[in-house]
Amino acid sequence: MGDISLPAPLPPPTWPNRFQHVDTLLDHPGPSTDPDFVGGEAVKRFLREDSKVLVIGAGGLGCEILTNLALMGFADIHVIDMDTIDISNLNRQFLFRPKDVGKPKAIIAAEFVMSRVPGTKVTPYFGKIQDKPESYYMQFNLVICGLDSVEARRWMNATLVAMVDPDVPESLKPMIDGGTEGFKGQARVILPSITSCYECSLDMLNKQTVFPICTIANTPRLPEHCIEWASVLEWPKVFPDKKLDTDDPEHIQWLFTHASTRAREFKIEGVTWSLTQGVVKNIIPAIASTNAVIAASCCTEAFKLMTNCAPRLDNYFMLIGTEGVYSYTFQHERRPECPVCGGETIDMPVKKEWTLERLIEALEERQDIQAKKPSLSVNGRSLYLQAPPQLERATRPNLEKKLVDLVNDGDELTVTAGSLPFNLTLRVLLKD
Amino acid sequence: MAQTAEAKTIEEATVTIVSPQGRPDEKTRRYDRQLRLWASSGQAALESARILVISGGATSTSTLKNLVLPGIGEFTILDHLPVTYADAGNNFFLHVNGIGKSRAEEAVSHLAELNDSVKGKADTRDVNAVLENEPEFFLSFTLIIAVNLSPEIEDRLAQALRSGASTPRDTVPLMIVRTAGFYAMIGTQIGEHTVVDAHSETPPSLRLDNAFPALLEYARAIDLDSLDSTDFGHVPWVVLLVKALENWKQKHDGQLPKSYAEKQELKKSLEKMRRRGDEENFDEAVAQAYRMWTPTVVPSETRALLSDPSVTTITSSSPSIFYFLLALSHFVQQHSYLPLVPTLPDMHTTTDTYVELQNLFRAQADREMLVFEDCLKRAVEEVHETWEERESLGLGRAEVKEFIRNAAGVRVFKGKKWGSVEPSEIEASDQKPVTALQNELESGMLPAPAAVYLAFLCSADFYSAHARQPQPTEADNQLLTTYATQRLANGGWNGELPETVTTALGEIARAQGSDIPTTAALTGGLVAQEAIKFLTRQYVPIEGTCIVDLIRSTTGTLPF
Ligand SMILES: [Zn+2]
Repeated sequence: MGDISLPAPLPPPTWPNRFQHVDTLLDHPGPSTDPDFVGGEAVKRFLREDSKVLVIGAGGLGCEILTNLALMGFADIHVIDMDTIDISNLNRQFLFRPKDVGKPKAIIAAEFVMSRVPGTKVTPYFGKIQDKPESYYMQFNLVICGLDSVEARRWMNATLVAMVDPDVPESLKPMIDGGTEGFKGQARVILPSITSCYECSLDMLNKQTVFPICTIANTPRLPEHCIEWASVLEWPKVFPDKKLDTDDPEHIQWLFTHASTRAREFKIEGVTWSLTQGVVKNIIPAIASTNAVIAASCCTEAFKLMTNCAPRLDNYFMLIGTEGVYSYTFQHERRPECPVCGGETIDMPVKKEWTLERLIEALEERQDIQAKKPSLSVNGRSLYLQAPPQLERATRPNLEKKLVDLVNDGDELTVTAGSLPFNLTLRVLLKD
Repeated sequence: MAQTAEAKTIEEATVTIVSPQGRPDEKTRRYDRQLRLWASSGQAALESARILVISGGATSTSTLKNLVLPGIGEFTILDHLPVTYADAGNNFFLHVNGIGKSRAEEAVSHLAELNDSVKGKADTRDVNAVLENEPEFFLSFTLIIAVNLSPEIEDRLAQALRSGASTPRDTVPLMIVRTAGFYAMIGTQIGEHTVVDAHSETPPSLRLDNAFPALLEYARAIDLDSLDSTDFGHVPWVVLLVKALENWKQKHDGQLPKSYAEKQELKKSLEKMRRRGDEENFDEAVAQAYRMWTPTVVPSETRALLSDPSVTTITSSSPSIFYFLLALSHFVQQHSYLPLVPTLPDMHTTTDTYVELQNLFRAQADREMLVFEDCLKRAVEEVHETWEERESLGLGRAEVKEFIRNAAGVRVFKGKKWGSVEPSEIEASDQKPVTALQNELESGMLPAPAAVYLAFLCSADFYSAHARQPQPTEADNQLLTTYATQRLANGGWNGELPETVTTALGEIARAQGSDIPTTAALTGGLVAQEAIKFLTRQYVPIEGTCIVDLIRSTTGTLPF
């Protein structure tokens, strides 16, 4: 697209033909564009001067998302990330260099994007999403999540769903969520209270392998069992006052040495440094190309939502790059009993003979709830509390009691847990 | 994904790089997240790659970014144009300070910053001139990616690569990429391509339908009735299944259960072996019961491959993988299964029992490996090489083990040409999209890649005729419609243009050949994924042409 005959470059923030490519999509509607779309200056001005978006995560997806948004002309971008840069990020997080190792991702990423794409405003926050109040999230047009943490996504999702006020249309903030693993990934558009939400699809996640303590302690068979033994059982025993830091190579070295010794003792092969690190950090393989696809999908949707120049993704895009280029676009349906956007209580069939402890185990195993260390109460009466210690002690005897002696059929239990960004209501159905 | 499957990959990924005692070096730490996918062998392949990308636009640099980061050996950007204002606006690897300078040089300098171990070169010649004067230039690369060139140059390039290759096997792979607004197209020309490790998620067969003798003997020796309840609860499910199936076979003339009813009956007999009803090992056995009646076979894809002429008629110049495949076909003739892969999943049992069982599988795998090596020796001698030279032929013990582990995932693609090269093929080139379009309309399913593909062809027709991109005007839309009608008629289509086609034509006109940053980034990600698969010979690459439609947020692959 030739335009080199123009005189000397104009100073930033902008220059002629800067958005020549993007403007093709904003000047004219396409055959699939909403009839309400009006191409031209107004929509461009809105995007480039008035829009305000939030990016959660400045890692593998975040670097790509920030870059895409800046190039597409988003005016005012905010980014939150609580992490610092590690050398293993450099194979894909292209806004960082070896000299940046140890520095906050959000700040370095924001600086780089602003220097490369003049005129873009990127405001970093080095910290947690939970630090920010609802009023903070209310200022954005939409939120894009590029996270590797299920917990953070659940929190963001629950927060945005809770913010929806049917009388205030602007309180509905679309959430676009991306995730990758190796050659695979997914991007989705969540319109809180309208489409299915993140919590609705929790059971689609791969179940994380949890090794039973008795296997780790008594009958190890895999190298992973030996590593878990070193990190879960031995470390707290040897260092009762020192928290295991999986980013500290000295700590990994200690685990690796002890896991290796145990493996030799049990004639188990395969404990390596890399496996040790992989198990204790729950490492997920990640490459630049997959992140590029998923982040670009997220930003395409952000651009479409913001400008209305083409229909939005409704609502789930899944990529499987291990066999050819295979993708699947579909509508993920809302779950009526979703504890975040559904409002209906979840039924929990239990046996009368079960103890409270058994119920808690069953609750922790449920893939659609994923409550870690839940506390339970019924009609304001505490059944079991994980903390503080004095209340834990006081409620501990209940763990051994049978459910039939603690609750009535149809009682609604309130469940709280650190991993749950909301209070869950559970209706117990007592069965023989 | 099961932790065990993942763990195996992790172990394989690094065992050759890191000594078991030592900490990983800086390079291993930098590449940790990708080594867990393609291991040191894949990394070595990337590091020896020389990639040429033609044109330095947004899609080109987006692609290269994803190849420089994981550490390819070297890349060259061939582009004679200067950086424009529009380029500085849509390309992260160009800057407004570089307006008027060489686009190749500017892009290379910004891309090279991403990874010190990658060499970047800018070539500021016009691709036309190079094709004219020095076509052999293109033959020196491992992979070529041509982005947003005219169809005429694409065809000439594809032709140069074909005629420059002494055998199909040596053809430099070519990826053809076009973008327009929310649309993109990724085509390929490959010679013969071999996938050495497809990374299938199907775990290797334990062959429990027909347990190997040592396993059968081991299972027989366990008398369930004599075990106390603790030991009973720790009999591994593999043993339980072998025992249950043996009982069944004794009552059924040695036959496996075939009908659904029979399978359920066998499953019930397994359940009846329980004592209490809640034994964990039995829970696992029931979940794995299908392994009893799943016959161990050579996968159909592997079987087809083994009878392919490239395997049955190897020559001394064949790559080592073909020696292995010929050996495998000898092995399969004798056994009708693949050599055993000794990967035992985790199961509820004691450490000692598990280790014992694992050793049984390993010993059997070793025995079969020796049989396989005999077959390999025969294969080597068939092409008059001597077995003593196995190491230098790339057929050493380590390679044998590696091959056996991945044997089920080996694939050979016969290759695919790009462009309409022979006059007799010109008509066929219009036939293919018509057939695809018909299928698309009949299924009524999303995505609709054939319509978008056709729109790309018509846009190219327009460019050839008018030396400019179509615009979203009544007149240009009319012309595009004429081209589409013509092409469909050539392919035997009669009737109105389907709505999917008019929609795609409208979008192509709206796009005016623009290379928008998000489409560029997405396409660059897909192209880089495929490039990595071609270079490492791991995972299964695309067969056909991929169409990206970001209006519908879909991708689709056409079979041609
Ligand atoms: Zn929901």
